[in-house]
Amino acid sequence: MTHQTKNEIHNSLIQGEQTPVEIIEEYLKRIEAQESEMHTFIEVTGESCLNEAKQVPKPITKEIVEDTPFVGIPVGIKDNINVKGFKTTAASKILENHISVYDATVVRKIKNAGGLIIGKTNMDEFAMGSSTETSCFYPTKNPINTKYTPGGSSGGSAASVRAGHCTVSLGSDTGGSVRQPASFCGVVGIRPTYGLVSRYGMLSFCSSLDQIGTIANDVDDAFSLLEVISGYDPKDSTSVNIEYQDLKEPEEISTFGICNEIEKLYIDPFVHDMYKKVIAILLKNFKKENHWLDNLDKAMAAYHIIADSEASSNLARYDGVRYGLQISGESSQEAYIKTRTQGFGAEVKRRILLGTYILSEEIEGSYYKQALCAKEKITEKLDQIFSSCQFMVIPTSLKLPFKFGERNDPLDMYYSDYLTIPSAIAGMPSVTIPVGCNENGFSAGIQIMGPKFSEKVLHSVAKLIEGELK
Amino acid sequence: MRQPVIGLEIHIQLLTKTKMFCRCKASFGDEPNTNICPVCMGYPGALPVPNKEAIKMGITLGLAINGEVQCVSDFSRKNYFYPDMPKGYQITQDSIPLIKNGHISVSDEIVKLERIHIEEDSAKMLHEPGTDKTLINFNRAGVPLLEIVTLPCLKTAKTANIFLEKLKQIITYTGISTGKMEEGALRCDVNISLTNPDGSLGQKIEVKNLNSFKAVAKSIEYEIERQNKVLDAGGKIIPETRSWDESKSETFIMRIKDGKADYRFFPEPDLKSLFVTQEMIDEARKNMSELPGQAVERLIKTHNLSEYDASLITSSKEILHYYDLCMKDFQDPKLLANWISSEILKIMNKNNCYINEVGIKPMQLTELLSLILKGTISGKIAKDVLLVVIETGKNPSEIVKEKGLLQVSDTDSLRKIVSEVLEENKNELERYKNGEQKLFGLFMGQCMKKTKGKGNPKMLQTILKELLRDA
Ligand SMILES: [Zn+2]
Repeated sequence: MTHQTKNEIHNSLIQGEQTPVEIIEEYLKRIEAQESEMHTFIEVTGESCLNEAKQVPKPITKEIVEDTPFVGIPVGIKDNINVKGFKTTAASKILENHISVYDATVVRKIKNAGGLIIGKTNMDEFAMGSSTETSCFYPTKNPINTKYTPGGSSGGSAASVRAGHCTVSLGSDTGGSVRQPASFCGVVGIRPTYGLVSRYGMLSFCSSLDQIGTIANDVDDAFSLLEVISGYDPKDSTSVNIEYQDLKEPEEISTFGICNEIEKLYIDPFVHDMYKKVIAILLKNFKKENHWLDNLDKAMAAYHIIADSEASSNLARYDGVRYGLQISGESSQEAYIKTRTQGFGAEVKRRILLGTYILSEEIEGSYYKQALCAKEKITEKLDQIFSSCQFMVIPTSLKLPFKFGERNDPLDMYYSDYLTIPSAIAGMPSVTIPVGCNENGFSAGIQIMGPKFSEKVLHSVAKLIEGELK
Repeated sequence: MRQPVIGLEIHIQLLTKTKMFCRCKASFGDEPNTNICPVCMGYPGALPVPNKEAIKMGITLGLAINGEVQCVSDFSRKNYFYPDMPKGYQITQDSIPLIKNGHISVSDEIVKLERIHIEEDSAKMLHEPGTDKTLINFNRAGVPLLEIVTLPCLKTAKTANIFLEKLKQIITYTGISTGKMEEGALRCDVNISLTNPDGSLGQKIEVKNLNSFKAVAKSIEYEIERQNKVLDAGGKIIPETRSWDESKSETFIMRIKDGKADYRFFPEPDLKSLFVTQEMIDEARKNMSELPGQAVERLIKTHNLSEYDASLITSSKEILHYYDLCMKDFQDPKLLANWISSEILKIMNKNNCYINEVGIKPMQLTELLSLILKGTISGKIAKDVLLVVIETGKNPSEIVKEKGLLQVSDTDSLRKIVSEVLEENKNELERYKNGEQKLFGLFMGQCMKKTKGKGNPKMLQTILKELLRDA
């Protein structure tokens, strides 16, 4: 059960089979029927979306679609990305009633491309989690089977695409937060090269690793949305001055790499089978190389040290002084303590405490420095691998989706990102595509990883695999 | 004998058009909370973008104090919670500052600088009088600052004072800040310790809330005495931050430093390292305005001023600028310098104002001085005219004409007046002839009185001498 893609909707609009308003009404109807159980959104912006749909020029022509590639398309935006005039809560009580005063750069770009924002998708609080269970509102259900989590932190973004609550959506990926839920929900998810997409207007969790990514039903839609949102932004000093004209241009590819460690890890047998299946497809086209990634464990440790350190500082602004939850106290100190104690959930507090300790003078930031060294080592290693092969293939998640409450130990949960962290920590792009379908309806997510700015390669490969699997 | 060891930490607010990390106007005097945006208010998702103008100003100051401009420096976060700090951290520079080293000569001493770095200002908190409320004005949040840190190498309050004067001269000459301490554009914290008997540094005390150079000097003197007394009595200096109480002229405890404050510095991940190219340095050097030392040299070499006059004229950029404007259509630098350093400075001190607030335009002053040079009025009359110019705003020649102050330079009438004076003072004339030479002054005074001060003194003198000789 997959829903219409962008191209299918545009064909229907151009041929006059449906109007933009009818399209949005259909989506809203589906949302209304399922949302009380599914909870893919924190807020559905139906009314404004319908109003926008009414403004879409008529009739829709090929030229209009070329100029505004997302005209009439309903888009879901993760709730840690600012959309002016609507709440941006990051699924946290501390921002429960916070209304955005500005559009994130990516949102402005989507609006300019004709995209219609249909809702703010649910997530783990401040993107800290892998199941949407840390959302202060409610967890999102996996549309494939509602007993299962959709993954996270961009669980709402992945589930909303899968459930047909929007055509495409934006998520954010710090260590795997786009790719893991996309794989759990059987959709395509991209984490772009660090700096390709502006972070301006996305609530920072770990500034040096956060990237906004795209989620869609097929490879082309995910890359089309990435084309729209990518590009240099003078408002984000870490954005890179590189402009892609067409990410979907075919690329010459000869060699791919696989990771030796995979055979030594305990991987779900279905995931392993699908991984082998993809390798078989690739072998028909390219030469294979074997590589050791090394330091997978160290990558995870380094990731958590860097992410928690930066998070402890990035979340300091939520103090109740200027916006958001504000609980008064006898002194400003007491007001801070009360506001932050009541405003943040357990996982967020755990990370703030860890991060604060890691940066403290008591340990002279030694963990942080070591983590930065590890980050450099992992990047060097991947650079070296990508100097001989053009991309790597690796499962997205070791396991298939888990049920609610099944992973209670935070460390257990942290392993969800085990295979998505290396490319995140190296600032490299990776796309996950759904492969196969088991007896429960779940697909295995398989990642294609490449060096920095290899999005075109990733598209070509993902497209090839997608085609072979049809 | 314990030696005082003093270090200074100075913050200066830069005169950039916009704030350090957003494009809000950097003028915090406007209606409160009007120059704000998601970035300087620390709103969710907002990101900083460095202000190039501020970086240029940092480079300029670095060059002016002979510092080493770092090609790569780092932005860092200093984490702490305070209502005036919107993000919960201040973006500053920690491990590598924009400028390393440098020095400023103070009389015959050299004050060495450790570093100059860029950072952002906090918001301003105002306690609403009569209530327990505190208001926050975020117009100041994010205004660019340069922090200048000296080595602990100063030994006296006097050196600290002159150093601050010199530094203020440099920052106003280069135009990077107003340097007005009363407006918070220049802030200075002092670190003072006394050496131990073995020569090592004793416990350091930090003094804050100093609102004038005088307060800096007085607090240093006070602390040296206080610390000596404590140690003489066998006590210990406790690590603490003290504040200056202007009314009592003493420092008092602000807070005890139990353990060092932990700011959890780490590299600012929202910004890349700060890169300074050779072109940027060359450009800053090319655009560098004349520095105080260079101005002194120019006035001595090309205008033949004394060192004293030159340093008085260059003591502030405004005075030098005024002087230079005057010199555009005036040929007697010595006379001009004399007038500025005596008459004009007198009025500035009396009214506690800047030179542009004295009330006489450069054109008017040179006109006045030209009247003296041409012999139209005497120097004494000119001083009166100056006051009238200030009072009425009228031009000097107009005033001279209106009040009939034209100097009498007509030989016949002057000769007549001198004869009259000698006629009226026969006794004195007799005494003069008998050798009482000092009576010459008395005759001169009488002559001036008779001409109501308008008589050309030089001519009167000549005529008087002549008539006395002939008498
Ligand atoms: Zn601003």
